[in-house]
Amino acid sequence: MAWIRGAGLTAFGRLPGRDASGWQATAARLAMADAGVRPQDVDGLIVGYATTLDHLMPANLLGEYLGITPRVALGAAVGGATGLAMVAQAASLVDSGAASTVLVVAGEDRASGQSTQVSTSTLAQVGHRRYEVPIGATVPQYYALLASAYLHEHGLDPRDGLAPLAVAMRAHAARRDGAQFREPVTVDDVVASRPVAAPLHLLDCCPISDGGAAVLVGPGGSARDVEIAGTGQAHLHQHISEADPHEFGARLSAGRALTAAGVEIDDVDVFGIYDSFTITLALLLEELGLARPGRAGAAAADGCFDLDGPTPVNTHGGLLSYGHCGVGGGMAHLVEVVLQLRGEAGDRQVGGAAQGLVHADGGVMSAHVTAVLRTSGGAA
Amino acid sequence: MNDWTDGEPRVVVSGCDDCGHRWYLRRECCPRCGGPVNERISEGGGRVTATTVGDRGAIALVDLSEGVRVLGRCDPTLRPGTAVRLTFHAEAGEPVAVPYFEAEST
Ligand SMILES: [Zn+2]
Repeated sequence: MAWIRGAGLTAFGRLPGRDASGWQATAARLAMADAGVRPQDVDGLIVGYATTLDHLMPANLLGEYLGITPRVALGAAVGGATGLAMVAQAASLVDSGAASTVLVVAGEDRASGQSTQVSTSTLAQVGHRRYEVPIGATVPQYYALLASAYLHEHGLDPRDGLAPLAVAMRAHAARRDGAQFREPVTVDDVVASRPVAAPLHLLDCCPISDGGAAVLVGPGGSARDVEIAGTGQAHLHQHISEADPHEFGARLSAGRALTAAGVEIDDVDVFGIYDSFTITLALLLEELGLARPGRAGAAAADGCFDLDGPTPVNTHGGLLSYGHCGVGGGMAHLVEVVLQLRGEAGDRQVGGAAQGLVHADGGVMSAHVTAVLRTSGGAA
Repeated sequence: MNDWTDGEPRVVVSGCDDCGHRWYLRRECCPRCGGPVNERISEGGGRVTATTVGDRGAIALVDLSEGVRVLGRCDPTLRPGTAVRLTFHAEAGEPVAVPYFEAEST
């Protein structure tokens, strides 16, 4: 059985001064300190890609930087799902006995290490090189297409269907030190913000951030350790041309994780759900069964995803407001759920949180990974 | 068979001889069963499933009548549900003309 024994998360934002290795090292040291582990104790090192590094060997690069000489080293790339995919692999290494102290790291100077234009064109390469990239679509436009189809199918407009999700994430971030955007916003603010890719406005889109996140995975069971009770994945397509808009893979992925954990989704107390855009969050909440079809925005407006709601989601503010530094952005949800399950979330603590679920997607709703977590004292 | 990505202004729809599956993104075998591939030129009729407008113009996802989904540029007035016809346009400096969807004239 594998546990998260340490977690580290930096502030996110436009924070010049560190390169990608610097952000990774900072997050890694936070996680190691949290676990009481030294670099020489680490025997497994898994590091996510960083677009500003564009390096073939991210784990070796960071290992050398920190003086870690692991038995197992691996770089990983499944887009926004990379962080959770690395944690799933770390749990497998621990369960198999191949490693016992596995450090999982991501970090990037995505905001200050490159221009927005370069970042946008790098990310657009998730499109098909021959059939989609020449059309000139960007990642916001791919998600805008998903939003267009979603709003049309359910007869919604952006104000009702999407904007309340951005408002809810911002309300969470207001309570979270380190979040990039903490000023509350309203539905009016969201729909009045600059159109980025109709029907998405600026506040429907996550920012580009600098930052890092890391966790230490190993055998555990002490009071602060959080059990990785089950993981699951689904990878059904890469390109939007071949996606099934009613079965992107989230349901399958979460079902596999919940089955592995022996947990019903109704028994989960706190959630971390990938939210690169408001439409991402709407589609994932609905496919996971946490909102009825076409009702994610309405549920957000009703407070369902708030701290005191029935389904607290992204109590750190999510990608939309805590920020998005690439692979580390998807790991921030994980670190937040770990803090919740330890009872260390301060004034944003979800009372009695014993079981958590984290879900991430990469590409254009392409790669899906879910982790079910529980406290040492949580229901078995 | 050459298509618009080779400079021939047409969309080629691939199909499987064995299982009948159809797809758009070029492959050497059927992604469902591994079977051999046949090709046909799309007649160009379809219906819009999604649209967006960004800095570089309007983009649509269109379900062609042959049963495949194609990303292309489009007339910015198009909305989901609109019947469309496939044409090809190149912006200045672009090496090939790309799929461009216009409303089907009635
Ligand atoms: Zn076939």
